[in-house]
Amino acid sequence: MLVEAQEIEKAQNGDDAAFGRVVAAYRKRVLGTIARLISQPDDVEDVGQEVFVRVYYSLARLRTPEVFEPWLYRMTVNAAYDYLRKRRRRAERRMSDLSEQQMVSADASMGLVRDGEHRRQTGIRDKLDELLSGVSEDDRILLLLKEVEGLSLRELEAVYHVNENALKVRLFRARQRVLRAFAASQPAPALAKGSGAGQEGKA
Amino acid sequence: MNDAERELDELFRAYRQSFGDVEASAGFTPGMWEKIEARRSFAFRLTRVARAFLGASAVVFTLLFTVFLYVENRPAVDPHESYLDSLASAHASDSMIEAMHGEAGEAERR
Repeated sequence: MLVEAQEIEKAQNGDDAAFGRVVAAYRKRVLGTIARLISQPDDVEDVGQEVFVRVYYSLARLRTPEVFEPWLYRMTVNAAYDYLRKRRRRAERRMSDLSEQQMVSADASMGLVRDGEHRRQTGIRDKLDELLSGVSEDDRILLLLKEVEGLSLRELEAVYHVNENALKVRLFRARQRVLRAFAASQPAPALAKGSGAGQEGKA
Repeated sequence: MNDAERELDELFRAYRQSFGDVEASAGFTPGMWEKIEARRSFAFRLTRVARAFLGASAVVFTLLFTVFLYVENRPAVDPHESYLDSLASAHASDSMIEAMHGEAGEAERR
């Protein structure tokens, strides 16, 4: 835990200064998780603020300070879900409003943005985002929490309130799907060289 | 673990590194408190409206209940009844008989 349990108890009892200290301790971790879950740097702070506002109003319902961290992860994941849902709806509306000509110029301007110094990093993010688009939003976030955030199965169990075996099955299936998409996205010579990837594709 | 799996793990690692450390801007905490306050005042207004609504409901309920009790306990009146019939039904039959007997006894004594 990044703060003492007493600090969380104080915040639960309405001590705003203690709540401020809890925010200061967890801010960086929460923002990092959100950034990796939503992959949209401009909106990270907004979603982060939303997480802490929700925490502020729900903290009194937390049974014990010892479960604060998985609970905070849960709040973070839920806020990220809500953001992604809203973004998808906005994107669908926006795309349906654009003509074909406008879509072409939108793609072109995206290409210009990629020419900056973050080109490689943007490329990595786009690549993984594309691979993860083949799985459901739930599985995407679950995979990111496991593979990118590095949460253990036990920690995920505490976040999701689902038993470890069920999580293992979900993770395995999601990972296999991403793996197949990854193998399919590799250039042809690599596929020919690694016969395993070909078999994955058939599986 | 085959090559594709290893490369995928590497991609996950690179993805994590591509974000670096995410630091909050100076406006993060003040902005958060503003949102908390905004939601608090909204919740306060909502609570006030809910309380007023509950109070008004209680008054209306009490009024309706009083009217209901009054209507329930009022003696039923038959519009075709004569005045004498109404008088007779308003008094218990025993007391009417007692009254009649009382009047007859007085007349005999006189």
